[in-house]
Amino acid sequence: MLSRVVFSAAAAAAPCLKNAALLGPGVLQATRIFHTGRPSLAPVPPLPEHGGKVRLGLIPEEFFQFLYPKTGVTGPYVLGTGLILYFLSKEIYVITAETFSAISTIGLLIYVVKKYGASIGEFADKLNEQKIAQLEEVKQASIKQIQDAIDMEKSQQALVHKRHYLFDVQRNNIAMALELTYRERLHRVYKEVKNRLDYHISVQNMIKALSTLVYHVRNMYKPQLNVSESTVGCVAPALLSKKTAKDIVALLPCPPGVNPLTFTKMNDQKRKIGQQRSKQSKQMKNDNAGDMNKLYSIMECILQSIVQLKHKFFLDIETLQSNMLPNFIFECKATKCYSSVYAYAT
Amino acid sequence: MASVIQVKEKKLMDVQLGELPSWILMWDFTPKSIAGAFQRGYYRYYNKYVNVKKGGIAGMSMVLAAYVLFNYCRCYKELKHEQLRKYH
Repeated sequence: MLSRVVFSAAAAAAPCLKNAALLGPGVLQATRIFHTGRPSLAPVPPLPEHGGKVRLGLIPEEFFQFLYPKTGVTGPYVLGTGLILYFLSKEIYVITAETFSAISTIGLLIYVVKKYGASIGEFADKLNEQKIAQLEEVKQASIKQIQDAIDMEKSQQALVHKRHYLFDVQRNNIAMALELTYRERLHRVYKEVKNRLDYHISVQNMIKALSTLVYHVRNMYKPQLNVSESTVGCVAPALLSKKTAKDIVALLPCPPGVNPLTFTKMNDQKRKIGQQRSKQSKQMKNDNAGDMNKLYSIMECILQSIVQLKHKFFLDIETLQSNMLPNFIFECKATKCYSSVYAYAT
Repeated sequence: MASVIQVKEKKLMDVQLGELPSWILMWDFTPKSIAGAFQRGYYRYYNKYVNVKKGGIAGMSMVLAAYVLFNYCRCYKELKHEQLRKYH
């Protein structure tokens, strides 16, 4: 590259390349433009296919063309022959021993070139082609890479425009989730409220049943118990405030000879004792005491069921169904007591 | 002599025979320009005969022939004594 700099400097000193004042035969290379003004690094023109034509491997074609107008086709050959003869005859070229070695060497060279020149040329061309193919590959690979980068860039830009789909989906998901939780909670609220209302309903029903029972009991045993008419219906509201079956049972008037505390279900032994005691007292009492015990056991069942109701309604709310009351009554043992009480009372 | 004005720009073939000395004298004889001339000549030859896709023997053979001639000219003085005949 340095040569180009020097060339440009030299070209600057002398106006232009066609400064053939310094050059020999005025033949210019038309194919390779070289140092015209400022050197341009633009794509270099491709190499010419073949070099300048040469005849006999030594004399450029331009010489023949130069002589053609004056002497025709045979001019340069005649000139060459004449020159050779002249040099020989005047012994400007002296024939020595080296002449023969030169002749044989040149003969051999010519033979080799004539025979293998083409194949060597092909071999060299193949090498060249390989080199060029490699470079071409590199170039193509780089172009492809860049093209891929461009395509990826474009696709990403396109994606950016489609981002809103993603956001829409996310928004929809969130909206659905919100809706879901809202409905869940609404349902829960509904259930809770229904729970409470069901509880009140079932408690009221229980109280009704219990008060009828109490009424019938009191009516049946009015002569034995010292209870006035007015207190028959007053037991019911007080039942709700009591927490345990024991408290509720304690409200009822206790017939003589019966210990109300013994009638809790948990204490079977105590019950047995109470039953034994009742059996013992049976001899002393009349049949009404046994009936009272039975009634008390029945009552205790019902009261237990009320307590259970309270627990059930306020602890295990999720398992309640819509139409709780008949199911509950069916589930509790109060069913049997209920029906048996009615059977007994009527 | 009207052509003298533009003589420097002319190539060898366009120079009139009478203007030849003046044309030659118009060259730069600085070392730099001489070196530049050699370089230019070299590149001219190189690009014409060697730096091509399918070069042939010509590129090298011309150089060798020139070399041979040059050496022969150098040795001519000693070779003169080996002439076969004295008078030609």
